[in-house]
Amino acid sequence: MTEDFVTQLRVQLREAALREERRTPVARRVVRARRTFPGPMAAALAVALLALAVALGAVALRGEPEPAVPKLVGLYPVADGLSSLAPGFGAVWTADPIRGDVLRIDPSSRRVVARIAAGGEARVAVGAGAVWALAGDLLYAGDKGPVRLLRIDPATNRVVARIPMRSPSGDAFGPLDLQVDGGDVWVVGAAGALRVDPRRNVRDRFVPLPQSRGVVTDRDSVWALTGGGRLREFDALTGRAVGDVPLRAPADSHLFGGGRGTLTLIGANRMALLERATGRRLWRATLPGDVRYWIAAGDALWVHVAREPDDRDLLVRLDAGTGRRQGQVALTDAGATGIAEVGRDVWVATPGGKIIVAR
Amino acid sequence: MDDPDITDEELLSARTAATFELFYCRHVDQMLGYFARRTGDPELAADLCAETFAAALAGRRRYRPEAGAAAAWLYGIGSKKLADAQRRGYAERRAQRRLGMERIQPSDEDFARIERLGEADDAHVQLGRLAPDQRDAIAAHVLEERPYDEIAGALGTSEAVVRKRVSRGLAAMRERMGARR
Repeated sequence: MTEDFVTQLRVQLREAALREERRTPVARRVVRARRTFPGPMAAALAVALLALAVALGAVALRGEPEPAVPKLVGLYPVADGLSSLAPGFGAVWTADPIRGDVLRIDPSSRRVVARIAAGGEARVAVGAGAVWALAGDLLYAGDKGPVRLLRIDPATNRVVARIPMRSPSGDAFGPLDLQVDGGDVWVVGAAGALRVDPRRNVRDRFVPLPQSRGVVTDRDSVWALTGGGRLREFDALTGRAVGDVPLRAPADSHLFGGGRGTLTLIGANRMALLERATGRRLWRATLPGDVRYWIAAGDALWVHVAREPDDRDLLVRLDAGTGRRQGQVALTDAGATGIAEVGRDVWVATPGGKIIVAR
Repeated sequence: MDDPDITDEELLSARTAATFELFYCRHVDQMLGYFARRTGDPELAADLCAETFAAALAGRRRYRPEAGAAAAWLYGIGSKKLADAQRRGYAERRAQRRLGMERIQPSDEDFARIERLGEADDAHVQLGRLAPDQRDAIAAHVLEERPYDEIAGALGTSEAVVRKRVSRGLAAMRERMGARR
């Protein structure tokens, strides 16, 4: 998930404030030097600094700089286990499946600053003016355990609405995934996708999608990859199929969201970016292990690649425009349950309850 | 974590990155709502909010607690930025450029949220600024519609204490909202 405006501004201000803090002693020394050096010496120093600046500028202008090699910048234990990760409202939200809580993490200290009881395993997402948690016995997909969509008010860290996860006709549909994009909240399950109206906190519309290999939702449409390898588009308002194109997708492929106007097809160690409207493949990449999670961050895609049990997992950075691999870093802990862009960092949540921060 | 015992004035006067961040967290929603109400344009409101906080960060050494409340100082900067923007037709980025900050393009979701903040009477924002005991009591009674006796039982205190917390919290919210209008 990408960050909201408030979080991005918070991170930029924090970094600017830190730069100011670091700059202050140097600036003081420069001012002091200016007072200490006599006029001609100060002029000579200024000329030398100018020459240095021009030389550095020339180096910088020679071409588009290559992205820096990804590196790990921290490992933070926050709980006994973690699932999903979503930035928003000046915080990063995740869930502790062991204790059944949604966690609010301060992005600066990387500490848990609030725990909100969710009553079971949960997946979190941020958008439509709130933090959302699909909570309950997700393993049994609503048939054997109650699954609720919780609306959490980030101002108070309290659950302000609990929405039962049944289709409008009252049927169980196996809710498993939460997709919040813009002002729309969708819960995707084994039997279809349920839209929730965030203004009234009620179930709103259900699109039946049995036996799909991945469902992606947005304001107007729902896309599904059928068992037969076809990409079908449905009108979000009526549930009517409005598009159907064949995809050359291996049987183990699943459909996920992409950036604006794109979809992602993932199967084992392969990843492909597709044009939403036509299903046309824009690029394809082969990764050095199984693709588990990925996030779009600026011009890059950060992909978590699992290589257990023999090797350490990797965080691989791809060029979002071409799929070209730009670098990778080996992770200290195995597995991933969520990934998020936080400021200029990428956070990975692990099943062991740690946050890995890479840059 | 935000400590309600630390005043805005103390946060601003401490002049560290961490305290400015807390100050930002306390006021960002109010500033967005303020600009959204006055401009009717969520994109301009976001630009003005970014420039106001950048100017506050760049100029925080000039803030003197004896001259008035930190929030009032922030609104003073904001109102000048707003007046400039109304004259020019766009929000300037001078302070952001000085601090090396990039322009943030808000998403459609951000726009929707800023519009809501503008439409709201900022009761919600004010609720978040109350002392934790008052905030929790109001959230439980007003938002979750739980009766006083139930809240008192859950908090291990008397019904009278909960009523007092709700009453005092609401009074503080009314005072703060009224004082700004």
